Amino acid sequence: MPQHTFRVNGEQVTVNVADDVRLLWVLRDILGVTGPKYGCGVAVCKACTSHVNGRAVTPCTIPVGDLQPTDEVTTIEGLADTVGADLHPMQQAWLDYDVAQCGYCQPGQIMAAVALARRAATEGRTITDADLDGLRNICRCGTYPRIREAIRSGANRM
Amino acid sequence: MMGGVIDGIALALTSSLHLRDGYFLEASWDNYFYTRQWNTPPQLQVIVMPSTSDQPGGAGELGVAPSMAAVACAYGRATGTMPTSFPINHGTLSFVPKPTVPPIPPSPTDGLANA
Repeated sequence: MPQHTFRVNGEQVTVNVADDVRLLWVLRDILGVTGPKYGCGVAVCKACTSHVNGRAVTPCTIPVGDLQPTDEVTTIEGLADTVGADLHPMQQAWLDYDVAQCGYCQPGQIMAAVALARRAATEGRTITDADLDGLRNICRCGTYPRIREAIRSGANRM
Repeated sequence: MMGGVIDGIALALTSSLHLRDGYFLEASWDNYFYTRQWNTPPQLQVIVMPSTSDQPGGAGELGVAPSMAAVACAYGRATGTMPTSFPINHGTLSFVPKPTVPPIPPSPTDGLANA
């Protein structure tokens, strides 16, 4: 079985698994990192949204063989460590606005939100309604209005 | 209550499945048009009225029915045609049905390219 080495939440990991197994199942089933949720497996629900080198991705669409040893995968478990705190500002905003209902989509929602906030900050602007409308993460509980409020608040604190 | 409103919007306008020749054309949540972030009201204020009863109770999914009716009435006022079947947009197929062979498609492989 081929070996693959990359970084997950600040630690180097090596797994023995076929090249074409998607990162989501490597994270969940082999490494036990279950924050990224399995919803659809075809990149339409975005519940597994995580970061590779700081950019939002859906691990269900990344063959593990595509990853290089220097690639840094950040899941919801490692998000707070990226700012050296117990909670990332976006997670705190999620608590402040009591966003989660059932909670299944929320790790992906938060990771997508952080990536959006970083992108807006890089472009030197605040988050617009159009930015929020562009989020494809599905929430079947319908917490969308709270998600919008929390993202704006969290982005202001980042 | 918030989820009830979001449900009501979808039930009035878009939330349905299309059964053809024994199978559903919808391949995933992405085809089944529950309310998404881009259909969400920019502002939503939920006001819970004080209880007038000694019995415990709640609103819960009771919020679905009135919000669906409110959306239907708003649609009727806005367009001048009162809708009589729901969801209103059921007759318009707004996606290209996916092939059914294989029944479960493989996961895409372009994740890093989309980063």
